[in-house]
Order: sequence, then structure tokens, then C-alpha cells
Amino acid sequence: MDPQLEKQFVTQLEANQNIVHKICRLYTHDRESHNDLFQEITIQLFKAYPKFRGDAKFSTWMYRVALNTAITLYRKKKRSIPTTDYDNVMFKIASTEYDNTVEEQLKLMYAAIRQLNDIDKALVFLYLEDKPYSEISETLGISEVNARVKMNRVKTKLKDLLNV
Amino acid sequence: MDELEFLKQDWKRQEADLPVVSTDSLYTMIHKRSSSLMKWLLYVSIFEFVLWTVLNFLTVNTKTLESLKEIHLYEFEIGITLLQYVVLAVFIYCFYKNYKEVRTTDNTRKLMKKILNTRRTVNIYVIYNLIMVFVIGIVVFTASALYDPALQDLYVLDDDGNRHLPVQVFLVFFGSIAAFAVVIWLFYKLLYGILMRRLYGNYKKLSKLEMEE
Repeated sequence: MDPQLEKQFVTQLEANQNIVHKICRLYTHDRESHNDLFQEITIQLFKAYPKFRGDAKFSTWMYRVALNTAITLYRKKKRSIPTTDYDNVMFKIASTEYDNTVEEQLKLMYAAIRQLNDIDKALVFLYLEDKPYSEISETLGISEVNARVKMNRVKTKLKDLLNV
Repeated sequence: MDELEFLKQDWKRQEADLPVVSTDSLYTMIHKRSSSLMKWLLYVSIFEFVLWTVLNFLTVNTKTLESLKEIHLYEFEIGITLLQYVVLAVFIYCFYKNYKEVRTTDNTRKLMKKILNTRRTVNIYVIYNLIMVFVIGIVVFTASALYDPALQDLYVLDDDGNRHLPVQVFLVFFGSIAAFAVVIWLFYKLLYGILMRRLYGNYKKLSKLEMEE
């Protein structure tokens, strides 16, 4: 690839890398897998970049390629065993702003989300990223109505997981 | 307020604790080799095309051609070999076309469907080869039964004085073909079970959702 384009890509990726990290945290259970998935997403983004025409925002385009890689293309190198230290940093709750009960509840919610299947995780992720249903449905390739229906089911599933 | 709305507020705050990959590391990363499912599928598929071609190639040598002449199958073998190469070329073309169409910028369901299509091309090729093994096996068996001197000794006479091959010969022949097919089937079940299970599962989940509409 032309070095200018390469530089442009790295600059844009660097500015938006938090999107990729958030996806890695949802789809992996240890640091090593996190780094592996981050690398694979980076490679896939780079491969697809020459066809990125800029008609969509770079970040919007990234969501699709990154999620597709996490859900479909990523192959775990070995069975990952969840590690406690990773669990602790997985979703760091801004504890100073919450009391213990709220913090506990948030922890439970993050744990519940990690128990969801790949597709449900993607829905929740896009929802938490404040994406409209039109974009969620376009990213996953389902109708908008179905995206809403599915999201309501996921909410119920999360409620059930929290009440167990 | 529902749980997710509540979580959404915290979601933004936790961004501050995300890891940061340096510019240099990003430059190194983009030049690394992918180890994605598509890469694996490509390697496995190339291996399959090579394996079946080598198998076809190994079965055709001067010795086998000589023995095929004896049982009047020389022209048949030449025809079949040519057909195998034409079919192989068609399948490689179809596989390459499907493979090239796989794009990470498609929506998730479309991407999964395209990967499954690529896989299906190779599956059809394997099924085609298994059918050919069966068809060629029957032709060779019939011709050998009629013309191969080695098999003539095995013929027995029944009560009515008719000459025929004993049932055991048929059992051994069909048993070997069935055993071969089962071994190949189990091998594919295992190989693609490991490789494709997650993809099949996720594709089913998405497709089921659309069918419920």
C-alpha cells in the first residue's frame, strides 16, 4: 500500500482505537486473546482500507469490519481461560461516582453481558455505543424491526441473568 | 430506567481505562499475517484440491494403464482423467470467485453467507469425488469380473450350473467403498466441525431471526 495511505490509516486507527479495544473486551477473556483479536481486527481493517471511500465516517466503517472480525473471522488460538486480573480491568467502573450497591449492580451487568452469545453481544455493544436501530440493523444484516425485537429479548435475557 | 440505559451512562466513563496501542506497534501490526477463518479455509481448501488431484494422479501410471488395457478400460480411464482435470479447473475457478467476494465491509449476515458459499464449493467438490470413486469402482469391478484373469479363478458354479462370483467378493468390494466413504465423511465432520461450528451457529441465529418476521 502507498505509504501516504498507510500513514493516513494508522492515524485514523490510532484516534479510534478505543472502539476496537471495547470489542476485544467483550469478545475475549484474557489479555493474550485481547491482543490477538486487536491485531486481527487491525489487519482486516488495513486490508479493507483501500476500498474505504470516505462516504461514511471512518468510525462507522470501523464498527462493521471490527465486529465482523470478532464474530466471524477471528479464530481463537487456544481455549482461553478467564483470568482474574483481566476480569478486574475488563470494565472498570468509575467507582468514585457510585455507591457500593450501584457499583455491585454494574459489575453484575457487565458479567451478564459477557455471558451472552456473539450476536447478542454485538447488539448490546452497538446499543451501548448509542447507535440508532437503523445502523444496528444495517451492520448485522437484519431488518430494523427484528433488531428492535431482538434487543427487547436481550434486555429480558439480561434481566433473567441478573435475577439468578 | 431499564438496566441497559443505566449501563449506557457508565459505558462512556470506562473509556478512560482502555489500553492504548502506540503508533509504532500499529505500524508493526498492519504488516503481520492474518490468522483469520478465511485464511484457514483457503489453506484447507488448497490442501483438498491438491490431495484429490494427487490421488487421481497416483492412480494413473504405466502399470495401471497396462492392466486397464487388459480389462478394456484404457479409453475409459483417459476420458475420466481428462474429465477430472476439467472439473478441477471449474471448481478452482468457482472457489476463487467465491473467496474473492468475501468482504469484511459487508453486513454480518451477508459476510457469513459468502463464507458458507465458499465452503460449499469445496464440499461439492469432495462429494463429486466420492461419487466418482463409487462410479469408477463399479465400472472397474464389473470390467474386472468380466475380463480380469485373476478374478476368473474366484468364480463358482451354483446348483443350476450358472457361473458367478461368490457373495463375499461383492461384500468385500462394497464394504471397502463404504468404509472409505465413512472415513472421509468422519474426517470432514471433524475438520469442519472445528473450523466452522461457531460460524454456523451464529449464522443460524441471525437467519432464524429474519425468518420469524
